[in-house]
Amino acid sequence: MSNIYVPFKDRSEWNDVTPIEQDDGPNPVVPIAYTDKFRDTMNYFRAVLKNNEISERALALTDEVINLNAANYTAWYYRRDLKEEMEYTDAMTEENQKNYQVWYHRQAILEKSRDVGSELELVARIISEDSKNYHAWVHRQWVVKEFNLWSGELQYLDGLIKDDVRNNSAWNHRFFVISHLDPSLSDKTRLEEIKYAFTSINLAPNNESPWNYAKGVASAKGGSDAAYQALKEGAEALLKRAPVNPFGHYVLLDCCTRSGTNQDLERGIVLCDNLVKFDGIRKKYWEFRKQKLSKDLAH
Amino acid sequence: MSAEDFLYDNHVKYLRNHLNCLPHHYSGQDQNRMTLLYFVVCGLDILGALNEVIPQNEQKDIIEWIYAQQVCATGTENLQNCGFRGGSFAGTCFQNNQNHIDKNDFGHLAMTYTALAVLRILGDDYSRVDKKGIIGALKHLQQDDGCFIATAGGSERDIRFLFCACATSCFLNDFSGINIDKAYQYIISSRGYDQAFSHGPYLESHGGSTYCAVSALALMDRLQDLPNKEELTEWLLKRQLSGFQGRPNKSVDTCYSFWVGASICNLHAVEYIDAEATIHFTLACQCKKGTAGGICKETNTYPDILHTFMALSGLSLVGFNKSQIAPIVPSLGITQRAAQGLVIPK
Repeated sequence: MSNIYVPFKDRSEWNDVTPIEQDDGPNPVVPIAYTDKFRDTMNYFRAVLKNNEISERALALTDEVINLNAANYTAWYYRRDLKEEMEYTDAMTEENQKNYQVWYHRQAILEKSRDVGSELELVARIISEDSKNYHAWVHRQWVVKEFNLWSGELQYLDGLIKDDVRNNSAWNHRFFVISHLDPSLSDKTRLEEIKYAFTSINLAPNNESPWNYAKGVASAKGGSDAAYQALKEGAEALLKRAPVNPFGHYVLLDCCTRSGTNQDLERGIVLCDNLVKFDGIRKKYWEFRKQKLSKDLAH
Repeated sequence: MSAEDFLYDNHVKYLRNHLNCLPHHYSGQDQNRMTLLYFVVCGLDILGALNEVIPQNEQKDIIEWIYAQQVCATGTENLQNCGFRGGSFAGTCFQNNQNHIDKNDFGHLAMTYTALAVLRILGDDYSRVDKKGIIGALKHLQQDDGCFIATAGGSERDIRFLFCACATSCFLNDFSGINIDKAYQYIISSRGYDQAFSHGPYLESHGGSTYCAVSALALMDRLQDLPNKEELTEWLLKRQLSGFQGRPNKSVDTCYSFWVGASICNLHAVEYIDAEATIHFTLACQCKKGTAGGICKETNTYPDILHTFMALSGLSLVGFNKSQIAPIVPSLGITQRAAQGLVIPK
């Protein structure tokens, strides 16, 4: 790909083609002030589309179109017709990490070629640049599942979570992997995972991600009393050390509400009172929860 | 911050100017111009400025432009292609654009949704909409798992397009193109361990996908069937830091005032939003360079029309400055005025 742009009319290989201007009618709305290069390239792309031309130069042209606008799904669609390719898509993925079309294109090609190559390494590289890139995580899940590549995932995630305990995407991916390894979520798995979450919570208690994870593991698939017990104990212990931690309050409140004994409901009311004080942005909500608990207690 | 800090005139001007011309950095959204048009027109409607700044003849031009993007059925041959394109980028003719079948020419669900929204906002009666074609296309675009792809040419499938299909069906007052039970199942399968929703099974819960899930359920009148609504509401309320974030441990962003705020409204919990905090954040994100107008994603960045529209919608949801900001229907993303006459489940 040359960096110097030559207008298409000055390229001899294109002189048999009549470019097609965008026909936006007499009164265009939200017109974009395209650059000359963008307009010129699209004019030739429109001509190629119209003629349904399948050729090397058409392939090269889609490359230029996608370089100008990687979200042009028509160009990607046309390309799938023209040629199945992976190296090209590798380069475009690295340049357009937050673009739906490029990730979808990768998937379409992998489905056809069934050659997964070093796909997980490429995704890992992109995740290392932006650890919460939604597209990359969606793609990673797809690849892991489609090509049955589960074995290295927990170790990979452990590294990511150690690097950044606040990486919610990594915690979510862990749930995905655990649910595959133990679909029914035995108590053994739940307790191990809750323990894992609390190791992280104890290092950085003001981090919503492992709290959500621990609660999710306890409550998923109908929930487990043993897991809830572990969750409760973990939250109690943490609150002894960090009495104004809101996440510990949230989780303990859920445990108390779930148990429903008078003692726990009373405890829940105190927790709501605390949250009204130090989770002020949700003051009205905690007042509402308190009211509900008081009503339950009266019955 | 109060109503006086709201730069009403500037925002009207900002949106109006973008109707005339979008700067070249919007080129990356060349195929989404319909959606960009929706942000501008619906934004002006929320500001109650539609008829004041877009004269009737110009409103007609907009309607003509939208119809020029329609892919109509020619018999049954291209039924799956029906709907609206995002613009004329693929080389279709403005006139007589409906008489030719081209395998590269297909509607896109997000564009169909926003085209129908803008037509409705401008008072068009849909008499030229190929309703049968669109409903027929929906049947082709729904997948075995209940989700939707965006275009017949193949695209990613996720909960965004399921929402677009529901909004489209609501506008056309015809849900026969959607298998509602399958769609419901897909939404349930996209629920995370934190009770919020993502793009699909086991993916990370996200404010945008949660909006699509909750609104789709509301439009299909299936929200009452959803279990654990309290936990979902709590997850949404916990996204508020000042404005709203889209996921745990991410920064606040004005677009989530709409995505998360509208979901909270759909779940009838708007009174638990700290309105003052989100208003304060949103007003701080207004562009204050001269009289340029527009609202940014976060403070000290540049405005764009998506965030301007979303931020205005978010302000509307919490009832800010009612004399200048019109109420909206959370599940459809249009004003209550424009939605009059539609059947929208409560």
